[in-house]
Amino acid sequence: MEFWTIINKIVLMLYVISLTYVSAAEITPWYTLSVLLYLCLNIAVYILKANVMPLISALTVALIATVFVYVHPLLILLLPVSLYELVSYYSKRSVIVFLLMLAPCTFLPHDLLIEYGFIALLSGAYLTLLRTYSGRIKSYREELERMRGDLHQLTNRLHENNDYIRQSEYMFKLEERNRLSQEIHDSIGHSMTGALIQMEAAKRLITADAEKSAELLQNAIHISKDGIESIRLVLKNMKPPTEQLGINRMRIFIDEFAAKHPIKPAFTYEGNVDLISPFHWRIIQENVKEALTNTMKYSSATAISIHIQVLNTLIKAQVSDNGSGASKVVKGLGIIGMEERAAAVNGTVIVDGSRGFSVTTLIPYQDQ
Amino acid sequence: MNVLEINKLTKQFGDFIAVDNLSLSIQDGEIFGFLGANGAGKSTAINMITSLLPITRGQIEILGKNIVKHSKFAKANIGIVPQELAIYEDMTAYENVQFFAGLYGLRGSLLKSRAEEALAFVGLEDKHRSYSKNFSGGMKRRLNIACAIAHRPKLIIMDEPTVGIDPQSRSYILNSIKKLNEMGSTIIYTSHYMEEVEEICTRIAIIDHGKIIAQGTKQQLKAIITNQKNISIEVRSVEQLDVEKLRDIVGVNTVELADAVIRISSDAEINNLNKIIQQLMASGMEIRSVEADEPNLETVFLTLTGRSLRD
Repeated sequence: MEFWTIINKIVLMLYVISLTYVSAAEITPWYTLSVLLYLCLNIAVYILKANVMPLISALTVALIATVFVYVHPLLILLLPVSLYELVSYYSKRSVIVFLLMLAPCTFLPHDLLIEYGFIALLSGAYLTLLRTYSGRIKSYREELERMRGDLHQLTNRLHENNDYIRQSEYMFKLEERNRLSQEIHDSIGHSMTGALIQMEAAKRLITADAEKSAELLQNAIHISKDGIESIRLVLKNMKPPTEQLGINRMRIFIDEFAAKHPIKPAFTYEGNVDLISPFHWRIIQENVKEALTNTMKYSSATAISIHIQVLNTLIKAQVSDNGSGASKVVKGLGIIGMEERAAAVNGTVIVDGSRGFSVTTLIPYQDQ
Repeated sequence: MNVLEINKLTKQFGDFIAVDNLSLSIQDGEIFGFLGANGAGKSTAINMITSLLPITRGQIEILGKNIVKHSKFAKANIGIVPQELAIYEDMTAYENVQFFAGLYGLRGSLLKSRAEEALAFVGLEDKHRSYSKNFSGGMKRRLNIACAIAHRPKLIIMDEPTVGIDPQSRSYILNSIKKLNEMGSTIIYTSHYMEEVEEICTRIAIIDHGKIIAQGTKQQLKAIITNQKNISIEVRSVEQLDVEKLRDIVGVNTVELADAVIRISSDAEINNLNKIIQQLMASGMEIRSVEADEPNLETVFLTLTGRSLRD
């Protein structure tokens, strides 16, 4: 913008100077001084701070008016651009700016009128175009910046999610390993040791007391059988209890929420929650969190309920409140985030503001 | 080739999103139902398919051709029966059909024969010269259908064609939809009457807040909720009942006894009611009542959205 305004001014100034040369009037030192002053003021605009710019423009306008009266009438032709600059600090309406630029016409001598009007119109049109154009560039740039921010935020969240998935997978492994070693230690280890002792004793007694030895061996066989049975049981129970982890995490989360906010959400679930995988739990929990945050922010609700239902091929997680709702739901980043999370597993999110506010996450699952 | 292919269709009115990222494809020979409450976005989607509303984002293809680039082709292959009646009341039935078919470029004897055919199809052949303002609501609807089908479109879209009409006309319309389908037209049918959709549609999309929340055949949609059906049989006495034999019947999962009521939970896909009753009769039971309770589309909608279709 600045660059093109400077060019406009230079062209205008050169035009005025050359016009003066051609005209009959003589060029006095005063004339040179005025032109130089004008130059100085216009350069000063770009050097000084932004808040003195209206003052400088006003000074320029005053200078031009003075030299028009005392030095040379042709210098008035420099006025439109400075006037435009001055007025556009105070008004964004192009019409008003235009009218004010044309206002000096009433004082001008007849022979200058046409030339002044022409220059005013031309500069006005040029500068207005320039202003809209640069305004648009500015808004695009802001938009770009905002989008970059959003993108950044979303990528971050994606990373976090990936981290979490990796972490929880590792957690599961650890938990499972822990359980397994505990089980082995508790049941199998004991029976193995017991059987070993019995067999050692039998070996010692095998010549001295064959009958006792046979009894001991029989004991060892029994203990080993029990051991095998408990191995079978351990293997059978080895599937980690994911449902408890998921439900418990959700409960802990809700308790934390209730501690920080005045409302305690009611949490209920139905169906076989075993079938919800850790990954799905993560999505459900994130969405519930988002929905609760929204409720606290906007709804002025007094009760919230969270309901998780496992249907035959679909998991449904619903957060609803008794607040003010919304006749028109405007999708913000929060809702879009919920939708994206659900979409990652072919799910959908229904947002309904007709009776209180409710957010329902639907996630299809494969029954294995 | 798919008759209709919709890809990520979105319609936005200011901040309000009426249709939200909707994708679906409809194959040749289907009767495809859009099921959703009032204001779910069904009509907005239809208005975009028929080019009555500009598309905010996404694409629609009819017979493999984009409807924006090939608008003439698309329009020639669509017949629409809009939600609001679109007939001229001060024209006769025949003139109405002729006028609308004429808009699609039919001329001369072809126009006459097609118009007569269409009127006969909807059962208005004896009302040729009657003015449509004297028609009942149902007859007006039928005339509207005749106007939409005279140019023999590949895809017929019916937007709530049974709202506010008498039961005879309703069943007539439903039958003619089936007939049109048998004659080779693909049909999109929108309604918030669950029973109609359940009766005639081969595939159904449940739409809510501008999104498809579930789609598939009736069975697939019901299977979202459960794959079980509950059968309650009231008998005079359960004393001589052999529960094991009932459990052995294919599909039966659990049998519970409560006073004189036998509650059986069974796979919804297997029709074993006959066998169960035969078994009961063979063991000399006196049956007083039988109730089978299967999920219907209304339950599916209610469970998924938490609201009923009529809200």
